[in-house]
Amino acid sequence: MSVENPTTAPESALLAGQAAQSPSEYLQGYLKRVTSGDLGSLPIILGLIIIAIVFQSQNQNFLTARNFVNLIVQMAGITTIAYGVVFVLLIGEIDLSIGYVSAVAAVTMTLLLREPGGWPWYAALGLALITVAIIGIVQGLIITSFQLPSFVVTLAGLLAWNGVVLIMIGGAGTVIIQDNVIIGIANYFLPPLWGWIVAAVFVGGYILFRIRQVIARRSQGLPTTPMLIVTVQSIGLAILAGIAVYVCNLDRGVPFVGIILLVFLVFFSFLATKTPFGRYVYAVGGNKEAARRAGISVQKIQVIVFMISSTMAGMGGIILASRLRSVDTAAGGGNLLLNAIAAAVIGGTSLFGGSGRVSSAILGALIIMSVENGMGLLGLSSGVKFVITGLVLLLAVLVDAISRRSRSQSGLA
Amino acid sequence: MDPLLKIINLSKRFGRLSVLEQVNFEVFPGEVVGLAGRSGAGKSVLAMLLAGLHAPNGGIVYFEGKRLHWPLQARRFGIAVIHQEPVLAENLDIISNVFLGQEIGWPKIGRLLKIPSQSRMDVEADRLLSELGIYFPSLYEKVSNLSAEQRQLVAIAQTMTQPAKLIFVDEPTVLLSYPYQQRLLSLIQRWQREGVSVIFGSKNLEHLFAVTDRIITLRKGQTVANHRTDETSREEIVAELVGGAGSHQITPAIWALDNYYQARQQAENLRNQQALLERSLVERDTLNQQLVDRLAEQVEALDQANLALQAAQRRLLTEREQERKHLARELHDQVIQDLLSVNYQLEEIESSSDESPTLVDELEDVRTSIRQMVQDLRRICGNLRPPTIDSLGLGAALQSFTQDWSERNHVTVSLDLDSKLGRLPEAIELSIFRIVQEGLSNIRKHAHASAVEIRLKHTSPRTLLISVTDNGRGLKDNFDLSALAAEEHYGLLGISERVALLGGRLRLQNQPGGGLLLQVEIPHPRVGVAVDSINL
Repeated sequence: MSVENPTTAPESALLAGQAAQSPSEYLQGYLKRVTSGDLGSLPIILGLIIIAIVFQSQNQNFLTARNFVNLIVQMAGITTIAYGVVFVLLIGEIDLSIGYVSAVAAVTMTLLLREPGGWPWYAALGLALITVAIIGIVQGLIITSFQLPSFVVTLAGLLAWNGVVLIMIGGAGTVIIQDNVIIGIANYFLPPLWGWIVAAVFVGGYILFRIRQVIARRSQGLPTTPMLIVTVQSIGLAILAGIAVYVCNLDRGVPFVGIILLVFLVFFSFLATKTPFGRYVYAVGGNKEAARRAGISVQKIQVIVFMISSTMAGMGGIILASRLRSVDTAAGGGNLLLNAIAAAVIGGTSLFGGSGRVSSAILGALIIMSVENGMGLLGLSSGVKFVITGLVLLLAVLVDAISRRSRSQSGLA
Repeated sequence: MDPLLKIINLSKRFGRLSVLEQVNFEVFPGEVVGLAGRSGAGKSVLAMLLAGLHAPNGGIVYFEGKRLHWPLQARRFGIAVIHQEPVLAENLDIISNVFLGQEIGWPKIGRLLKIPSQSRMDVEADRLLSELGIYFPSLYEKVSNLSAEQRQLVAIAQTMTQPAKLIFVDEPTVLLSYPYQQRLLSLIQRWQREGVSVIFGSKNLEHLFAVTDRIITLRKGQTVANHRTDETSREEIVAELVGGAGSHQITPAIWALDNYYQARQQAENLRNQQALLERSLVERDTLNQQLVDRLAEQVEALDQANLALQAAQRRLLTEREQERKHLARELHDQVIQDLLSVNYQLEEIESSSDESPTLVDELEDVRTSIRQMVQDLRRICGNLRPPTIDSLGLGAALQSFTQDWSERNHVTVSLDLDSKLGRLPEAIELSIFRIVQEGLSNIRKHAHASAVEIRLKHTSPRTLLISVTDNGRGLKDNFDLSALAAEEHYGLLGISERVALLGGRLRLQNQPGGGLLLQVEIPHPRVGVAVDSINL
């Protein structure tokens, strides 16, 4: 400790002082965040519990292994699309073309697979995804180069790609998919043992990652999550994964598409939180000018995000086509686009950019699809379904807005 | 030497508004160039051009001999800009903002997909900010919760994450308080020492004159003057800022403005000094407190040392008493018995022999002297260890001792014992005995007294008062207890030590009618008295 420079000592001590965070302090911090309005995924979990209670009391088929597996397969398409939507919302833009872009991918792939002279499945799938990626890049370049609102450009895309789908399918009306691999994407279920193995790999990977992080930070004397909390969270995850696999195995087994969702979740979460690209996405969404001044090429980030959005839409379209084993002229239409955006928003991603998590896509989709699934079991008319889905979306946005206001009042916004 | 930055006829228009025209100047390596100009003179626009945020409409800019083209990735060239108004990503925390666009991670190349090392950035940000002397309660705070000054400090830290060749400082002092303004000025000087060129735009002439090598004046988007700082004056710069033509009219206003700046700075300086003074007062208080604490600590340590010393001395005394007891027993059981048996043998020899009467007489003499020896030895034993004290207690021991002493020294001793004296712990009894012994021995050596009065009284059930009064000479007027050791008079000193070890009090007083009163008060446990009173 030097006398000449008294200001330096406390700061380092301060950072080191935070390292000694006990589990109770951690919990207090969490409670403080929640009470001050930073609810995280708490409302969604509460919402899911309420949905489960309501529908189970109306129809006892809701909480069954069969319906659980169905739900995973049903939500796979919009979840995949919603992953891309999260990124677009994070930079404070919107992409309305994703519905029909997903159809473009599905139709392209299906047409390429068509016998005779059909392409192998990987080539068809790859080309379809490259096609929609290029669509995303083009839309992104138009938006950024001419400083146009993404709303208008992608609205034009929505119309144009709808037309393209109709032209591509032509008079056929419906094209059947015959490739077993593609059909398997949404219709293959893992044997029980493999379900367990996959769950073990995911949980093990999660635990390893967390522990490595804690050890690395502790060795530098930096604040860390207490080991006890990490342990509790790991055990909780293991129990959840175990229950999910067990329930799936009671029915047909873990759906392959569920694994795809998890892989995407891990990959995009990593991309969003652990890479500079992810930081730049948040920075651009938070303050474009700040990102620009920091030397970030804002245009590049925006174009890449629109590419991700289109590509994930294409992937989602292919999953949906695989589930239906065919594509038709209605592909990409209906409420697919709005459901995908609603999923991201219900999950907690802000429409104004800069805040949200990748996991909000899967949580929001879970809410929307379980409501839809439950109402399907009750045999409600589609009019009632739309009204209720709309109310759920409104409720989600209200909860977010109210918690945001209390956060700004408590000075944490 | 080639200039680091060479600007030729740079111009910028926004729509039909011309903000910069015909800007020309050069910056050499390691040079601090001041940019003086009033609001709207184009300083900030120039900063934005060099930061690559806007593209110029005309002109040529060379950096390190290479021509710059817009769009410009200024930071790649080593040009860092601190803007007047910081713009930060509100939704990210301090550390993420500091390293935005400059994440530390692996691999070094491939900016978008490298894996940033959060812990290394945390450590580095902490180092960087403390180097700047910036204090944040938490580096994980979101930037949206920071004050304008704190945000500006984050923006300053941002420019330091990467080595720069040219740093454009565009009047960030507006948002900074006085201490941080001074810190920024010294930072500029540090950059200069490190060979970094700085362009420092400011309205504040004090700041400009404090750190720059050259001052360039901008007026209405044009460079109007270029001076070496030590060859120009504030008046000259002000005149140029206003423009030659109307100077005689506007100058007073500008002077007023300049005075206002000075006054404001002085006010800020005063406020800062006051804050410093308050802090130093607080520090002095804590310093005093520390001193008091340390003193208390030392006193306590001293106390402990004292206690330890006392304990050691007590142990020493006890051991000495043990030793004496042992010695007395040895003498009594061994030597005296031996002498007595020798005496007995001599008696037998005497009675059995028919030798000459002279021999008998001599034998008789030897036996008398043996008896004398035995008696002496008994007295010595008694002095070493009062034989009665262990069995009969303090009272009996004192009685036998004083009687013996009185006979030998021909001094009348009157002994007045408390009727409820009872038995006390061995250490206390012995100490009291020794105190009386020492007292009497002092009287024998120094007092020339003819009568001694010894009293043992309980002043309370737990205190015993011992007083030894004589009718001798008393103490000298300049008597000093603490000087006794130096004069090698250990008698009184021994008494006072024993009294101190027992936690008692010693009083020495010359009597009105001559003679000395030695008074000792000793606390003792209740036990002896209690047992005694039950017996009564």
